[in-house]
Amino acid sequence: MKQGEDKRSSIEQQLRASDERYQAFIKNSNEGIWRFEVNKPILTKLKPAEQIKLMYKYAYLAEANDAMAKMYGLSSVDDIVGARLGDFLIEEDPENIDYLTAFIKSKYRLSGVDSHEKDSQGNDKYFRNSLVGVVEKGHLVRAWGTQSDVTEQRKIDMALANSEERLSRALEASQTGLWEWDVKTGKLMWSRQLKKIFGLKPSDKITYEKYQKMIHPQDRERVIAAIQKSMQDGKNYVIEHRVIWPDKSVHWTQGQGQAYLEDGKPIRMIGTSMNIDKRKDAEIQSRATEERLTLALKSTNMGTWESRMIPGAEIWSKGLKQLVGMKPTEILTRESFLNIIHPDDKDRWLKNIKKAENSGKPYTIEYRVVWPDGSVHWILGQGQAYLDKNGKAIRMVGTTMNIDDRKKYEIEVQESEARFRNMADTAPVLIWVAGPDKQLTYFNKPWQDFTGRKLEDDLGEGWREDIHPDDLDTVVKVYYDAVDKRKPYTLEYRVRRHDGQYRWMLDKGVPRYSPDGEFLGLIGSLIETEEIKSTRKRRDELEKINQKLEDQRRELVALNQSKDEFISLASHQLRTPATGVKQYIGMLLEGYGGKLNKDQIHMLSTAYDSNERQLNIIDDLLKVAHVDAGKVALRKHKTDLVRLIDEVIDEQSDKFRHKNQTTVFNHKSKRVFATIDPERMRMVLENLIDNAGKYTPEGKKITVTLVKTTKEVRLTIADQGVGIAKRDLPKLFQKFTRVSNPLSTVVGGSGLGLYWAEKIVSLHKGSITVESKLHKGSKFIIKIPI
Amino acid sequence: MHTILIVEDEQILREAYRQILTHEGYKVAMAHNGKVALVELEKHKPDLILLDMLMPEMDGLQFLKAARLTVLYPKVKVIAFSNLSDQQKLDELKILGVTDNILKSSLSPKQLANTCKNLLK
Repeated sequence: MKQGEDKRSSIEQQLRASDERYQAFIKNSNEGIWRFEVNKPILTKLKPAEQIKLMYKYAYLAEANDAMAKMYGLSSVDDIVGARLGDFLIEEDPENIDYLTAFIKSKYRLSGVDSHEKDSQGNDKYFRNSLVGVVEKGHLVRAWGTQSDVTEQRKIDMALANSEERLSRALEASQTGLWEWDVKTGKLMWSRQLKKIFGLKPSDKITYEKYQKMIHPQDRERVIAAIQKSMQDGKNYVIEHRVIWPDKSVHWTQGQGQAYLEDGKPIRMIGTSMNIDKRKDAEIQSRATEERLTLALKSTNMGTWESRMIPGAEIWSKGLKQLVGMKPTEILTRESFLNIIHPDDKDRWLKNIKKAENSGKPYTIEYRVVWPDGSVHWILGQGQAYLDKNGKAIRMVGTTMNIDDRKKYEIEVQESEARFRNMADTAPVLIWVAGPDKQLTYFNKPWQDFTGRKLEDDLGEGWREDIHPDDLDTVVKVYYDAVDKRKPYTLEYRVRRHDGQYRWMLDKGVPRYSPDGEFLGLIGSLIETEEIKSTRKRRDELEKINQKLEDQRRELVALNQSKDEFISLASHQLRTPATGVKQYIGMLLEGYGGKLNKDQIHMLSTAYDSNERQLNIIDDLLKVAHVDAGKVALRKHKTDLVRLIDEVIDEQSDKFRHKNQTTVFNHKSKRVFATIDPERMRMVLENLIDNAGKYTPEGKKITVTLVKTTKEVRLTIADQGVGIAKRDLPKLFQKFTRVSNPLSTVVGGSGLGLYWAEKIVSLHKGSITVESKLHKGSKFIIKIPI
Repeated sequence: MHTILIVEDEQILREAYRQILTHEGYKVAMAHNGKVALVELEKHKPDLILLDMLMPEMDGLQFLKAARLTVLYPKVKVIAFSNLSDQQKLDELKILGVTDNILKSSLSPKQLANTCKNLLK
């Protein structure tokens, strides 16, 4: 028995100790420990919702520790013992419903389930509960449990859940898929969205190799290259490429990725992908609407393009590829474009584009491209970058234009400019050229020679140093005014010569225009005024002399006319008394006055001959005066020259006989006809034959030869006389010429015979010439055209 | 006996011709210009007229036009004394009744007499 009591006592002791331990544990625990009792046991067969309702109705806190009181913001456990379940839990909170339902369904044994409660201040509190219910006779009578405060943890979780949800929603909305690639293990993680973008089911597995195969063959190399580049430099890449879905449809994707390096080696890559079919469609659609634009661009040799500033990404373009010699299928990227730019222009082009990207201002550049056939073409590029609020270029648009023709024209202009300069440099005046900005752009070589200054010294505004300080203000004023008004000007001012001396110059400036009418500035020339002045003076003097000569000439003409008139008048007046003398001496000699002795006859004969000579001279003077006054009109008719010459020789035969001279007349035909003025021509022949007789010594021969050809009649009168000196020949047919020779004083003569004869032959359109040898004889040749 | 009218303004020549022709046996009438010649023509109805062309008052051409010799005195012979070299004018003279044109300084007294004699045969 005692053994039984001891045993019992020991059990009691053990029990007591255990209770103490329990009380100590409860007291010192950080967790809340509680015991709920129900006023009315709850039937466990009821539905959970019914049981929960009864719990809130009958359950009250029977026992708890201080830690629990603290969880509700209270200091003592006394403040919460006796409180109803509804004082702790928010009855309507679905989480609490879930919590209690789970407790019931777990047959009143539950651990690690959260409840949503309020503390004494009304703050939200989350507790993680573990609890056990006591069921007696099919009724829940009480529950034991512990709880820990998880409010902070829950908040973090919730924030995390919220952000994750937002991200996933954002990605979903932007149709962006995520991927992560563990380079070391080769494990590739794809988000659902990414699989969707690649046309895959969520359950489909993905590998890098499979990913590569899904990329459009034409884009594959480009994409792999971009990924490999990033794996080397760790930089971000963006690339547009096509994806072939398992259903063989083709879709556009914009991929972005970046590798993370460790010790220069890639360990991980993270990236996104985005479907851009819609944008591409829009592009295609806009392409359709831009057909007309394309046509317009084609006809104007223009192209246009738009870049979204993504390195390596294709640049949308229209007409551009054609202009730069690219195939339509070639992908246009900045990199591919750079390859076709002429090497000499590449740096300049890049610099220009960079500047445009940084400034957002429009740019214009002319550069050359090299076509695949090696031909070089000129392009005019214009464009502008659009910047975001951070000043980063996000979009760039531009146009391109083929300007081969214009460049060709420009080269021609340059050549013509070179020609102009060449010419200007050899011009005898100083020439300058200025632009519309009033800056001097050119001085010719004579200018440089004159001023002795280098071209670059005078260009721009440098020329001011050449102008005399006293004249400079006026020159600048007049010149500026001329440019502003685009008017010509003339100004005289002093320019410093290379020797330092200032020279007066006359400057004439005129506006110049391009063929299109664009004002190009002025061009001007300078001449030394002092030189002009002396030239003018010389010219004036010459003009005066000229005028004087002209006056003299007129005077002489008038004088000559009055002289002719005088000769005519004088001859008439002289002739009458001489004729009187002739008549009276004639009457005496011819016996009208009775018989005369020999001496008387000799004396009167001499007087008569002398008077005759005077009359002849008067006749000659009159004839010449007539011919000179142009009053002689030929009266031509067909005449037998043989007969005419026979008659003339016959008339003078007495004279020849007297001097014992022989005459020979050579002619082949019996008759030689020519259309001449027989009276005048007779006088010409009389004169020539008479001369031949006069100048030929006694006993010599005179030969007349008449020859007719198809073109002309040629008449030669040759004598064996004294001849004519060579130096006298040119004077022979001049007026009042009497060649000095031993016989001239004896034969006399007016010196007008040959002059008149030549005039008459000329009126017949013929010629009279002479060949002569001194002391051998002369030969006069008359040629008259038939 | 033939009558010759001498029309000459130069008295010295007129007188020379008168002496020569009278000596040759002609009846001679004289005038010193065209106007007087017209009167003498009417009065003497000469067989030959020696007509100087250059005269004051009325010259030889004017006389010929006024006298209308070819109509009124178709038989009269006229020797014109002129140095005209203009053939047209010479032709005109012939139309007006001039028989011959002679440069008066070219004839000696005997040649003048012979010329008259030949014309009046």
